[in-house]
Formats: sequence, structure tokens, C-alpha cells
Amino acid sequence: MHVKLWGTRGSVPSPTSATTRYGGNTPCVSVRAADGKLLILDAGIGLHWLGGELLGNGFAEDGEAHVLITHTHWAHIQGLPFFQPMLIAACNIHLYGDGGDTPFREVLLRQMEHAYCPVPNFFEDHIGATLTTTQLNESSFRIGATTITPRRVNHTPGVPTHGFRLDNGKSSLAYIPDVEYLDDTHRRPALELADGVDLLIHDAHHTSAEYESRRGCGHCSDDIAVELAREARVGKILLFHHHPDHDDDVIDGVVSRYADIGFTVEGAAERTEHILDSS
Amino acid sequence: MKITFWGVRGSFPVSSPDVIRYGGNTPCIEVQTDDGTIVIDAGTGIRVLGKSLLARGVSHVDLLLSHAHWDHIQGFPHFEPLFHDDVSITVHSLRHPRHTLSSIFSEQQQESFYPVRLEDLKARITFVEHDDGEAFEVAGAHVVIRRLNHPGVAGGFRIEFGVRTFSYISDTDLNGECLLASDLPATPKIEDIDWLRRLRQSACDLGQSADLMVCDTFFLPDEYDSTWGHSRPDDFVEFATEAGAGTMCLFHHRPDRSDDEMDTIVDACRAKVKGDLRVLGANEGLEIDL
Repeated sequence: MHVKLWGTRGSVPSPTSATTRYGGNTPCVSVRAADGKLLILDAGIGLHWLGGELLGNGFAEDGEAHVLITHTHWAHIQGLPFFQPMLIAACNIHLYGDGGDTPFREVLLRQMEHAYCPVPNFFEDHIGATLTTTQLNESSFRIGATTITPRRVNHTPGVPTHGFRLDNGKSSLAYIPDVEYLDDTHRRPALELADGVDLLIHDAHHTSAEYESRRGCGHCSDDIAVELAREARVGKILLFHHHPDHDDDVIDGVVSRYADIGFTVEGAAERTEHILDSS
Repeated sequence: MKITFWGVRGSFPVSSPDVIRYGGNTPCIEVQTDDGTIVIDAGTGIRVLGKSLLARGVSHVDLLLSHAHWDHIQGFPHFEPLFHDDVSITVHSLRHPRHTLSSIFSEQQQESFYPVRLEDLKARITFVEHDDGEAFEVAGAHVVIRRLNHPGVAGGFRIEFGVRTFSYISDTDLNGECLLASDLPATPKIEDIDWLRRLRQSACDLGQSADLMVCDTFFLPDEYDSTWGHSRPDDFVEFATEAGAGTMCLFHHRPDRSDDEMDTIVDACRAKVKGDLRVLGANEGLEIDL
């Protein structure tokens, strides 16, 4: 698996000169599986720049992508209207997510409403790419040789939120960008997803110093994320979903606390690549 | 009247080392008069402005919304003053025939999309819908709102305070041949060409003799697409010159426009100016005291 980070920022893009190393784009991670399938985790603004790279590599001819969306908060879907392959007829884009009480496709369509969005509505059959939308539940499924396991995790009320495990027998990745553990039942699905993975990408929206005052807001702090990683015996954890007010130096300071703990802790940085197997 | 730019980027926010001088936040401009604070548009720039307003103890703002496209409203849920019960905010925009102004904002904060609902915010929020051409007073300033040629229902503003005039003419194709504005009054039926002429005249009325004119310069000539509703720098150099504007300010920069490219575009505009028109490229943090 070849993993590349296109957006690492939580809540809202934070473009400043002090966030250029870790990045200010909202969540998007591309995973190129060993069998060539392209999986995309979340559709924040980072998705736009991934689209540019794909089109530079011939994606417009017959590109296929599978976009797994953890939940429909803005930061995780706002890149879709600006993902250029959506407007290219020869592309095939498959969207997976959960709209809760509302069909997933209908939630995404609201973003395309003309009063808000001047981009042609590529959900209409005669416009742009061939699109499919799939309602997620907790059943595992395969995309090529990769098994995807979704699990419901605790985030905020009103919107179902999933984490994902991607496994191809040789390497594994867990992606849990928005989660809060208020009790052990909340930790259980995350531990299952992260169990022994090579790479865990995990919510660390708050610093540990900030967390108590923001308890109940749906996000983790770095120490809670690292403790879960230790318990799940992961190879490496990327602290992800950075708070918009945290600049590069703040994130450096957080990461430096975990220099010698037996596994690798890094701050998720935009445009970095993580290769999980050599096959 | 003091103008401060908090977001200058068009379409969507851009985070990249290539845009740090001009900035990557979507549109938001603060207009301070002797009598109060006006904010134009609620792109992501408003998030940073919100922290500044709280630090300065500003407890009331009038938000002038040009239109409801995402890049002009997406910062609103992240505007910290909304979480304070001693703050009041009045939002002004053109009347939309199919969406109330309050529904535009409450739908953005439905629980599918955002964890805090509009009705749960602590600040007192009032929505005021205006007709095309209507004049009103905010922060002691005289404001006129006019429709412009842009997809959907979009407008610009002319703000006069004392002897100074500030014009916000973003998100419009000044010289386009496609009528993009929708939901125009249907009767009596008027051909597209007449509507294009009327909307162009609206832009002229907003910009006439402005001391400072914020201009939509999204496209370069070889990128221009007549279905998007955006203009080119040359369109506005000519327009601002004819309007007798003092300063034109390039604005709503294309997402992939780097700082170096912006410098080149600003220089090219200056080289084309005949007369006294001053040309600036809007960058985050730019302050202009009129």
C-alpha cells in the first residue's frame, strides 16, 4: 500500500504561513493498493490537489477511484465539487458513506444545490463521471485485493461516523480521523480497527493540555491517540485532524513528547508518503 | 473608512507555501467606519477576523453577503463571536426567490454537516433580505446592493461613508455574453441581451467614482470561461478607469494562482493603466484607510 496525505487539518482549512509544513487542507488520504486500485479516504479540500495529480498521470482516460467517507461533516466532503475527475465522462468514481436517517447520496446532493454550488451537478447521469454511491454499514467488503472494514465510532450526535481498516494480507492501515472515547465501549471498535496495523492515522485534534475543557466535543487529544496505538500494537501512528489553531510549532511540540516509546509517532504532514509494503 | 482584507481567494481555500503572501482564505473583508463594523462575505477569512473582533471587544457587526456560494459562507460556522451571548449580528443579502436568507445559513449547519445548529448559537442573529437596488444604512454608512451577472442570485455593494466610497464588485463577468444570473423578474419578458446590459449598468452604478474598488480578476484571458461568471484583469482595468475609480484591487484569486503569478498579473495591470488609477493585488492583512 502506498499512502499519501493530501489534507490533514480538522474542521476548516487553515491556510497560513505557520501551517505550511503539516498543511492546512481538510482531510484526504490516497491509498494506492498493490493491485493498482485507488482508494481515497475522505473528501476534504485536499481531494482537489489529488485530482490534479491524477489527471497529470492519465486518469482522464479511464480512471477509477473508490472514495470512502467517514462522515458527512463539511471538512470531510467539501472537496467533492472541486475534484476535477467528477466532470470527466470517462472516469468512474465510487462513493461510500453513511447519511444516517438521510440516504447518503441525498446528503451529498445537498452540497450540489445550485444556490450554494455553481459546479455542474455531476450526480446527474448525463454530466461528468460515472458515479455510484454505496451506503456503508459495518460489513466488510473488498475493493480488488483490499478488504475494507468499517466500524461505527463515537464522534458527535446526529451524524454516523465510521473508522476504516484496510487490509490486503501483507499490510494494513487504520483510519480513524474523528473519534472521542468517553468510555470503554467507545474504544472497542477503534481497537478492533487498529489491531496490529502497520499504520494508524488517528484523531489528535486537541493537545492533552486542552482536552479536559473540550471533553464531549467529539475529538481526541494526542495522549489518548498514542495510548490507543500502544494498546493496539501498531507499527506507526500519524497524529491527524490537526486543530485549525495549531501551527507547525505546536504540532512539533506535541510529537516531540513521544520520541522513545517503542513505536513511531509522527504528526501527519500534507504531501508525505508512507509505503507499507514493498510488493 | 478603513478596509481590511481577511480572505481574498476564490472558489475554495488554498493551503500551500506558494500562496502565503497573498493568502489562501476565501472572501472576507472588514469595513470599519467611525460608527461601527461591516463585514463583507463569510469565507474562511472570517474565522480569523472573529478572533480579532473578540479581542477588540466588537459586539455588533453587519454582515453583507454578496451571495450564497460556498466560498462566501463557509467560514460562518467558525466565526467565534457567534458563540457569545453579548454579540449581535445582522446579515444582509439579496432576496432569493427560492431560499430565505436564514435557511441558507441554517442548512449549512444541519447536523449532517456541522455539529452546532444555527439556532443553538448564542449570539443574536437577524437576517434582512433586500431587493435589487435597495439602499440601507449600516454602521453609519449608506449602502446600495445591486444584482450582478454571476450564476444564481449574486450581488455587489457600494458603501459610502462621509465623502468616501468603497465598491465591492466581486463574482461577476463584466463583459460576458452569457446571462448567468438566474431568477430574474420574468415579466415583462426581456431578452438576455437587455438583462446583460442592465446588470453591467448595475456594476457601473456600484463602481462610479469609487475611492476603492474590489474587483473580480479570477481569470487570465487564456483561462476564461463564459459560463463561470468571473472577469479578467483587463476587464476591470478598463471598467475602473471608465468609472473614475481611485484604486482598483484585484480580488477573488484563482485557487492555483501562486504569489509569483499574482505579482506578474499586478505588474501587467499597472503597465496597462492610462491615467491615475492605482492598482493593488488584495492580500490577506492588507489595510487601506480611505
